[in-house]
Amino acid sequence: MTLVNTGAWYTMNTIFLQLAFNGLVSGLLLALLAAGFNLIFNTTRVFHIAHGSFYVGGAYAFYAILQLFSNQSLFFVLLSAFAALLIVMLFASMIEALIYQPLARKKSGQAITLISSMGVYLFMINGIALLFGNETKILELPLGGSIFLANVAIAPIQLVQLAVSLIFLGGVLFISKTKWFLGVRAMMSNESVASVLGVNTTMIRLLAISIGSALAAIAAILTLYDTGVDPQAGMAITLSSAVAVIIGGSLSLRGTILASVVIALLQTATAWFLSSQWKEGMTFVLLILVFFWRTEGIVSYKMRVEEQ
Amino acid sequence: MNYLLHILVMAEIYIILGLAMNLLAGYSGLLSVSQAAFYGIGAYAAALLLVNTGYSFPIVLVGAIVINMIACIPVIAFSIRFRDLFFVLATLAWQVIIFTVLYNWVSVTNGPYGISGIPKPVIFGYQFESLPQFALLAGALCALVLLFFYGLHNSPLSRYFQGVRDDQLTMLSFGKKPGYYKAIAISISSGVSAIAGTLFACYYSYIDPTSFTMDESILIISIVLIGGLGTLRGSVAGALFYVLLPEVLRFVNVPDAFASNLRMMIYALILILMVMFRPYGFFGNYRFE
Amino acid sequence: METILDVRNITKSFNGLKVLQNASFAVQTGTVAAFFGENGSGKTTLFHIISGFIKADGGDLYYKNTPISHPTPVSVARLGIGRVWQNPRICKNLSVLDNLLLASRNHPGERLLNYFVRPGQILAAEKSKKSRAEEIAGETALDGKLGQAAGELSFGQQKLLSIGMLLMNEASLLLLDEPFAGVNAKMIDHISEVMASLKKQGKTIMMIEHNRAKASSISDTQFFLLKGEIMQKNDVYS
Repeated sequence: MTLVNTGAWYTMNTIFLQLAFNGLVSGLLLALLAAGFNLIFNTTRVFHIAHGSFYVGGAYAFYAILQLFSNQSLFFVLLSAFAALLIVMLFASMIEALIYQPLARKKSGQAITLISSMGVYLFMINGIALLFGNETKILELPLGGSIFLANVAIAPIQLVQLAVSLIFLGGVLFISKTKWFLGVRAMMSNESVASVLGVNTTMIRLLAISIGSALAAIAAILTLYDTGVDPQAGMAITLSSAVAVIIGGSLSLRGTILASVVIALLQTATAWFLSSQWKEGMTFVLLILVFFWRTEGIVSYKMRVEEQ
Repeated sequence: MNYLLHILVMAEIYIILGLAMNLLAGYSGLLSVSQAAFYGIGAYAAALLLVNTGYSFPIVLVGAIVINMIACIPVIAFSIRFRDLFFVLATLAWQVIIFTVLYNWVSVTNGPYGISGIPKPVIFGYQFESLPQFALLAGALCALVLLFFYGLHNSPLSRYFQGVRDDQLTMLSFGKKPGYYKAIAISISSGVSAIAGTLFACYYSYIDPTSFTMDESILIISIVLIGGLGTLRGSVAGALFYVLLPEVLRFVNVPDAFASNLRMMIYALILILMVMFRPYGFFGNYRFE
Repeated sequence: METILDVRNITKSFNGLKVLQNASFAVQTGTVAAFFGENGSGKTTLFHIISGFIKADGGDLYYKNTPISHPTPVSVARLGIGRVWQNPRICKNLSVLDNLLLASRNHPGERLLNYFVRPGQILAAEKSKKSRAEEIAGETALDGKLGQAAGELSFGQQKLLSIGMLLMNEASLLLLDEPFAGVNAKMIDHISEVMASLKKQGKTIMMIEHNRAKASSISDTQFFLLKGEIMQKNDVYS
């Protein structure tokens, strides 16, 4: 989003409001991604480095399918989005069934699943680049220019992003509050208990990873109409959503959403005051500060002594 | 012939990087994701010293190693309390921050435009100008690094690294501080990576930040994993495997435009298969759990 | 007789639940003290506090009549208090010999600087520590197994190895957490023989044990933990 830089109303106050609004919108988009990461991480314990590749995959699938149709009316856009989501969910389920699930059965630790996830990431990103090339894909929203509210420029795509991400985040939050979900989560923390109680952990893992990846794909499609998506964007996406999950406290979905907004505000401010290339670095400076601030709490040996 | 020598130089560089990674992952059980950052700092330190000061190659090499060992102090400070996932996150943070700095600190690193005109190494008046000469120099440095790690492997110090890897609580209850050994392992790994960085900078006489991304870090991790953790021949085999893989693709006549992507896809597939079915890699004696 | 460890009024609670209440007792040098009590009576917590892995809420520890002001695992270990865990903690990928050498106290090879300043000393120490390790392997009946990976040893042998590692560490007060749990009868006799010979060498042993008969027969003092309070055996009968 560019700031309209003319007129007497161009004041610090307006910039502040504009940045806050832009940050909020991209924060909610990031929250979609991070909620997906959170869902996958908490259900499967896989630190899903490949999350970003599903994001890119979703965007490219949508783009390719949309090109098949001669007109880009809302109907075809929704149809393509639906098809793209299906493809992403299918791929995610395949990865889960072929890689993560067998590794989980062998009781592999987090290091192993993380490394295999790196492999999945490399494979998918390079596969996408092979099929579609390395250049940025971008789409135009046929909805006219920005509207102004209290001197803040609001692009139509931002309204769409705001609405869609609020709907899906609301849906995820609602599901996460249901008794069913809480019960499942309590049991997932101990897989042997879960299987004794007859919970189909295989199915729930599949569900979590495909819904999580679908959330990433939704965010990707929304970004496609805004700043565009290129294959190399995947890693930055994974990293930002992982940081949001860690900072937000890995178990709490609300914490993840809040942290996403904070990170996006920081990134927006960084992009405005420094340059957009500093964004990732700033996110990780924040992560390190959180590491220091939380000091012993995270993985100190004292905790592991008590497990003994 | 030139092409073979090019492969040889690449193999020598990746063997050095693999050995440096193996000290962390294989001996100390630390899955570091900031190897490309170490590599990059080394390359930039060497390039800047060579271009701006005109010191001779040996001094620059030592300088790059020292700068790298100093530059890894922050990552030591915020990562030694952790292991496993949080160590990964801490080193990942360092990788991203270093890349951001290399990319944005234009006044020093020239940002995305990189540094060009890096001179070829000159040692005591002897110029390593041609490809065979350079391959020889890189080979000699690679052999030195191998020798160094061989010595380290047989020294009592290697025992303490492996103690950190196997059980930190044991180390504590015998009065040894795991953090101390992690710090040593990280700084050695960083210092050795500087050698590879220096060679890389001199070889291409041009560097830019895109050679030192997170993806490069993942690549270095996969080299030691495929080769096998905890042994020297594992790292060497992993590096050779990575460098020689595209030669196989050459035989099946893959168009150049696809070659690099296809190569990474095959490589990633092998990594996944190895992790699933052959967790010790080719020659490993340790595996992550 | 001299007091090696004096524990005074140690209190500890987790989340409002009192695990230890004013625990006080003293252990004499060269004796074997056994600690009995139900699960959750605070025995292991007590060991954690003495070995510095958990901080007590209140109370004092005196080792050889000097207070341990801020016990941390490293400082306590350096004083000479060693610890064997219930599930023996060893480096399973290292050989038995390497495990023993790893534990050895004041090996010059454990400091990086020594490699530059006195490499000769490291070589000499490596040699002498190796022969000491072989000696200890003999004492703990691990002699044939020096080259074997520690992870391949049986559970009982792993316990013996961790006792051997304490000896390499020159600990004079040994905290053994359930040394007889999970091993067969032959190994129990074996471990108690090793403990008896340690006592002869002047080492002090504190042990947590459920096998009360066996532990009573080899211990000099018995303590009972009940709801976080400590009673000595004589108190129970008097």
